[in-house]
Amino acid sequence: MEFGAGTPLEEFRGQVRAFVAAHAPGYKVRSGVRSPENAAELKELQRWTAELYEAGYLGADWPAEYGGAPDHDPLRAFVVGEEIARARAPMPASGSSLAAHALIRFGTEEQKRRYLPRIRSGEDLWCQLFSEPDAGSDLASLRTVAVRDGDEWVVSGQKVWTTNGHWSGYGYLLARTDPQAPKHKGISAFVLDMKAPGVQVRPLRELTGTSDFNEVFFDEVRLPADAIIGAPGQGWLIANASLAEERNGVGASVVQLQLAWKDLVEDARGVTVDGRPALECDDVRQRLAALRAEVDACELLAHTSLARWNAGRERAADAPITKLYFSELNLRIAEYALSLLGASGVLAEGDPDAVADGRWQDAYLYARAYTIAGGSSEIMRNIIAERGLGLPREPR
Amino acid sequence: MEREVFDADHRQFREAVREFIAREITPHHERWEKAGICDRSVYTEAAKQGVIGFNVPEEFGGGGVHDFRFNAVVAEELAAARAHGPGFNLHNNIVAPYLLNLANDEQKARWLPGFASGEEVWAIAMTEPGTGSDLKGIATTAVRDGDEWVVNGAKTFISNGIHSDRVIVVARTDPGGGSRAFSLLVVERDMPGFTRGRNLDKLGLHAQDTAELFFENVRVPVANLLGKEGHGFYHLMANLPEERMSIAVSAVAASRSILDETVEYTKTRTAFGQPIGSFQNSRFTLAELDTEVDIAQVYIDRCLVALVAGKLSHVEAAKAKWWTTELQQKVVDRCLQLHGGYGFMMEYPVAKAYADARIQTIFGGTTEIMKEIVGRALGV
Repeated sequence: MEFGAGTPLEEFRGQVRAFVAAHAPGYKVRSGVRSPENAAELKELQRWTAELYEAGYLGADWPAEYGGAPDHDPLRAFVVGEEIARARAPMPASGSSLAAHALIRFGTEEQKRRYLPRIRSGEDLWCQLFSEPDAGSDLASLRTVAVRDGDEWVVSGQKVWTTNGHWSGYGYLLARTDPQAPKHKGISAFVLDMKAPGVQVRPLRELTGTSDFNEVFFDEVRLPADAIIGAPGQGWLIANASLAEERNGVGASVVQLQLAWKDLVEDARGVTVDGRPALECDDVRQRLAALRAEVDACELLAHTSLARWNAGRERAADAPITKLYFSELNLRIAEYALSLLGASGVLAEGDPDAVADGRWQDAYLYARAYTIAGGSSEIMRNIIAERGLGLPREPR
Repeated sequence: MEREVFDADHRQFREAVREFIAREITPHHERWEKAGICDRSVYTEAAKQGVIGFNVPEEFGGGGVHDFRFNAVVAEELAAARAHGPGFNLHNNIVAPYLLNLANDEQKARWLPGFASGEEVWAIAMTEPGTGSDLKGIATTAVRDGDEWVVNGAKTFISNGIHSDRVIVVARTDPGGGSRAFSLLVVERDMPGFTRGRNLDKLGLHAQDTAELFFENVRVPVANLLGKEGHGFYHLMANLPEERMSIAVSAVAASRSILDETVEYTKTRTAFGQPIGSFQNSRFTLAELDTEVDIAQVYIDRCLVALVAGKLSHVEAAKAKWWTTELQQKVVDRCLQLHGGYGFMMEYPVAKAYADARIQTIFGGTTEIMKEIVGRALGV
């Protein structure tokens, strides 16, 4: 089933596909959610972002005065995500659109005027300053503080796993403003100028060998009073509301799985197992077919939950179920790909003999980020159990 | 669970090996990972301490110990320390048996002293581009010409490929084919026409040099024929139990090591106000892994006893190899997940363990090949 097949969405899909083919950056895109690897890629990403907004393919749900389309169809955003994924083109920075949604819903007019046009033009990338060394899955226990001092807020603490932190002009920050309040209630949201004195960004080196995430340190960073988004104590609400707007990635994820499965079959054509072409081995055929069934199941799962979301009937467990199933299946596909490639499966990118220039090796290693980031599989199962099934809360 | 397979000598040896690794390997390993190769001097240092060469007869400068349990101790300690750079297992467990069992007296006198002292690094070259686990597909040829064999072909995925001074090359000496088509020839560093390709870019094991080797009209004196002409395939088969047990023993030790470390991590790392190990989900995962690693340990120790007694069949070794390495994959996989985001950072041992473990189910015969061997032995 192709989502939106047989509807005007298909016509739209054709337009988007042609647009992506004509405008997408040409640089190599790795598996998962990654940062540009150099200034040239950053520039390309910024141009690409600007063109997507300009064409109305991004930001259609924004207020009309900031470039949105009043009669927009929310399902179009999924089609855009799917087509970008299908072309293996880079996704615009998710931190930017997350921040945009927070500002649109909770920001002042002045904030919207100041920041939204520069998000649309691609000039400013935004990073999401949520996770901390001791507050990942347990985000609400974050300890970065913002203390009011006269007309300013003084921020101290540390964030981690900050995608694009090293390329961002601004950060969408969650910080604790009321240490006395219950943990979810003492958090506020801020706009943080990444170039402000006291901000230090340190790229991490990850399992993949690349640096997509950063640590960000705040040493008494002074923010103006109007840097707060919404009211003090509203941070948790704002963060959840903006995250809830971010469903566009679901369609893209399914397309990634479909591509991965096709790649797997394609790459298996050149592989021999015990002297026979791999595709003639029973075991290989059984495994490939079983994985295909799972990819189709994941697609249906994603599309069903999207349809409910679009109809305003999303269930609490929908997004966690899809994320859990996607990320675990994605890992299984990559694991199987490496087994299937046999000895050549250990050759990584850069080696001239690496299959598909090491795409599978990168996908295998990055697959571990998917099972952990954005709520680990364990957290997803907890949410499904507690909010979805109404089971008692985990005993603590 | 207490292990019964070792006696006091082995335990004492283990202490020495552990100390050696901590002193001579661990402090340099990160640098070797960046360089893609370890320092050559670690071989001579290891030989001085008896970490390699102990199974070579004393008359050739070795330790004169013939007991695979010592080999297992070295393999286990290297795995526990995640010290994959130096190819000691290759030397002790794979090359040594070939030389000890197949070399004639003249060859032993010529080769064993340098091997035992660690001054000469050895490798064995079976795999070729495109052959993988299928040795019958070997295309490297050796043609007799007077007192020499003229070798032509290419090998790949050769551990110690860059460091090696002497390489046991599996070559086709009878174009007619069949299982008597292969022989083992020892190619030496300075022989004209023997060249090395690049040090391969790999998913893991970054400190180990793994390379391509090329042979273009390399003239190898007949004195360098190892074992009997046409018996190469049988020579390879004879050593399979040791090779596979070497990998299996390492797999269990690596699993135990990363599991212990993960248990410690889950005791200190807190989320939602409590150590993450105290969540039932984590506790059950750790309990399962701990149980399975214990089972694996008992099983592998039993296999070790059989191997030392010369009673471990290649089918039994194939079972041990695939099952323990698949267990290792599962253990590192679960342990990485328990580390959360930190499992994704290179500076955490579990991230490296994850990348390094991947090869275990592939080299020395893939899991699929092991299952073929076991399955065929069942008569199906």
